[in-house]
Amino acid sequence: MTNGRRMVRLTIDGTSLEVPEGTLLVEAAKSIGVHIPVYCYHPKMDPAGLCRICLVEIEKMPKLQIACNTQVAEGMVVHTASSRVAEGRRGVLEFLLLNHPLDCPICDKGGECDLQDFTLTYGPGASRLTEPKLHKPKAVDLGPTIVLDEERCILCRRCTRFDNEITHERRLIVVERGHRSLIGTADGKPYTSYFSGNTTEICPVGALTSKAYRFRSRPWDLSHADSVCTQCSVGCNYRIDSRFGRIMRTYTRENPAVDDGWICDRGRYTFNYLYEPSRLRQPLIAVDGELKAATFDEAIALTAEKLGRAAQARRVGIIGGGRLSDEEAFALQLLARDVLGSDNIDYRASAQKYASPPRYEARLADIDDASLILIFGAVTPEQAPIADLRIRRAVARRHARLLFVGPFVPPAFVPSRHVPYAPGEIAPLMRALADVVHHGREEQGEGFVAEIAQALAQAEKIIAIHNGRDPQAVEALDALLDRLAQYDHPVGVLVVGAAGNARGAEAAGCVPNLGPGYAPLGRTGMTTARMLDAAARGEIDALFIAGANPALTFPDGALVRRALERVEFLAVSEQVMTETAAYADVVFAAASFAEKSGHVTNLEGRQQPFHQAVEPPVQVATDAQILAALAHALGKPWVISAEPAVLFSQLEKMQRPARTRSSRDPLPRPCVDDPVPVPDPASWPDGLTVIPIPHLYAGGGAAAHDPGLAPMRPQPFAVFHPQDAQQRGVADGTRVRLRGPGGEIEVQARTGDHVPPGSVLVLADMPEAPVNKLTNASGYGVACVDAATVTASQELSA
Amino acid sequence: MSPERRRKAEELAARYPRRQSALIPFLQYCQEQDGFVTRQAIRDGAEMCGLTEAEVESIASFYTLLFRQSVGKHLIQVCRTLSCMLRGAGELQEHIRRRLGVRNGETTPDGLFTYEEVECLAACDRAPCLQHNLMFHYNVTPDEFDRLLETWRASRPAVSLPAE
Repeated sequence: MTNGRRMVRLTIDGTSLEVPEGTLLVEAAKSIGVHIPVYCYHPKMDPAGLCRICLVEIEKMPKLQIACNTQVAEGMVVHTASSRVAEGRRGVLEFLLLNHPLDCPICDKGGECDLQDFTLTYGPGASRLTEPKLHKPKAVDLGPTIVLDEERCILCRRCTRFDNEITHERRLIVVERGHRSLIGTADGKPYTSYFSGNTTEICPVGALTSKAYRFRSRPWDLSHADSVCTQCSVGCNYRIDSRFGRIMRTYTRENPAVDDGWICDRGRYTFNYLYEPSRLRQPLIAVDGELKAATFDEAIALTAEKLGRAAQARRVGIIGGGRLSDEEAFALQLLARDVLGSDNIDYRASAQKYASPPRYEARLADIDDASLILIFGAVTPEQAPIADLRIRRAVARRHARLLFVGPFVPPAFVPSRHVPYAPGEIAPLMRALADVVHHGREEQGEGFVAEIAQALAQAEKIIAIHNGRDPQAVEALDALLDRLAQYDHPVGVLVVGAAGNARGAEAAGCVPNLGPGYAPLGRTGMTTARMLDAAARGEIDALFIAGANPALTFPDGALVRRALERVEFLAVSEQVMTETAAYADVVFAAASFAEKSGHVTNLEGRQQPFHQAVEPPVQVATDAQILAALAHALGKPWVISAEPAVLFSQLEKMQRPARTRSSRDPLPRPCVDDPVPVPDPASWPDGLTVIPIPHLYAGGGAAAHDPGLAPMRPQPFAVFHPQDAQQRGVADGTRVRLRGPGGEIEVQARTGDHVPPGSVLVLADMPEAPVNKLTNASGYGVACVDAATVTASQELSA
Repeated sequence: MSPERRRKAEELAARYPRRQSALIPFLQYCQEQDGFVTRQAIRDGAEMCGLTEAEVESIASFYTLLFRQSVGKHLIQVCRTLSCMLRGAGELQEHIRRRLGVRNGETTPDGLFTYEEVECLAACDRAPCLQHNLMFHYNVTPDEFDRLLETWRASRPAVSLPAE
């Protein structure tokens, strides 16, 4: 018995084996190393039995059977290599190839194509068809990422099943029937799933091809490097395929515990920015207010001098780490603490305060068997898409309840319940829940408290997911989960990071009061907000910002801009010219993740290695090299090694105690600023509460400069409740200006019922329209619609 | 969805344990109203069953008796599967195409006749078979077709497809 399932004994090709009842023949054969060819079958999806290539002979059954949809039975005797099987597969292949164009020499799939490979192994040498082949549309533009060749398609439906069973978006379909069948969408709308790239991988032939990779390389010419995606905090494993030192594509590298074999399009297609003219290829130094090319040594010498002098006066600050590797984040805090002698170091360049829960850390795989998933703050489809696939599966397949608590209804592809709570009200809610749960009075409680408390009490396993922004809500949630855990409910928390390696930077000591491995220092430096405030008041002379873009992402935009303008010296390490780097006196050209090796830590605390795929441009250095060179120039060369392996061995020792502690022992918490209240909309004429919303393709830096993402990138927009829009004369699709106390931005107006009246959802992190011009340190803001822009757009449309 | 159509949708849905089962009768009803399955009908069907538009499109395009664009008042479908072809369906098809001046799948310019060659109509014992709107005509010869054509021209067509 395994997992309570009865074991069944059978024989495959003379080998006797025992597998759990219900196992499919194709999987049973795989377990003893017998390969059965498949096209339509995919281990992550339900069997479909469409392509018939997996025919096997089963004794006592008159006809050949399909291995992909036949379950094992006691005493079954299976032959996978008999002459009858060979004849059957030959026949299937002859049919599959009847109308196939056989354009292998120019097909992207050639060399890694199952149709090619199985034809070689099992297929007929020639076709007996003498009629002309059926023709179908070629080079069909399926959407921003995919080109479809209908003639190559063998109608295995892996792509449409993926869109149905895995993403639950149900937009990719088979239209028509029989030999006329085509893959398509309703009314030819573009196929815009965030997961579209996966269909090009699971397509067993060359029908679905990636626009980014089309006609770029032959698969056998590619060099491979095992890497980890750093575009969000999920940390999906992938492979970087390069040719002649240039990245050609990325490819899934299944890690069942993290990505389950999928990657999202943001992760898959963000690499061509490295080859754009906007990529920083050498250090820059500001001369008379203009950034000019400089050598690495000049940039190091100038930065070391300025940082050293500011450090002596205790007027230095360091921001960043969330987009560096674990080793480099560790080196960054070494620069602050052991070279410059300052605890003014903070990776938090956005509204996020915590990247880890204090207790009850969950793993991503814990979502799979959760019975209640409670989400607040985080918008998982946009911020952690591959984790969202697990949520969708848990809800659709295992009937988990999905509960959103927050100001607006987030996008969901599976049934969910939204409980409206204004920003700032979530902490009191969590406290009220803890109270009723503690006293066993779940049916009591005001508002939605009773409903949520009962859901919690009924749940067998609870996973909470949030964005770590609201310290009070996080503490209250911790108390609530502690109560539930005492009543033997398995509970767990996942914190979606604002930056890809936020958790790694936190664990590496890039916070003012904690060293590497969450070691309390007993003293504290300045947080990002305090550093910026000090810089704006002229109390900090030099700032070093590495792999962070606070000018775009820090909620109090007015403060950042004042600070970066005022500070005497600013050095920034970046891959592309960002909004922050534009203020810099020195800009270091930094290597990307593909151009270095190291580790990153994902949202569940899993530290994963990644390997260098390509060389950086000659004058581009890794952040470890930059930091080591600074330590050298500041007279302490022994503090920071440029070698990731050396840094990692130091870091690993310091992180061990936190890793091996019990999940009920609270982790020390990074210090946070005093809470800032959400601005009152009544404080501003005709004011609406501004709620920033994330989007998968938003962001500055790489996302803003990548040509592969450009077709998917949204225009800045704001969503109004229809009532508010009507009152203000704002029509859907028009351009309006939003004005707040700190500034104004121009956006496209939209309307939607998912917006609470009196609020406006504004797309966050867009360089063209930075929402942090409207928000304060709470992460929320207040703004009105500039009436002049409304009239102007009405005139334009009239 | 128009109130009238919504009422019909609810009436049809109530007949089945699962709402989705009412989709095809609903699309047939829409086709009877509009002449073919319009984009709006696809949207309405999706709303009625809780499906995506794509899924309804997939279903609508699968069935040969659901039309995605307008067809003539008289829909003439001739079987092109084995039994009928052995019994002269090829000659019949050739004759009809010449007589109406259209190719397979086309409608005459006056909008009266749409001609289609279809797979087995399940009347092999009286091949070749021709389906006019929903009526079967058996053992059809070119001469027989000409006679039928005259009666169709003279008559108003029956309702194309019953909704239920």
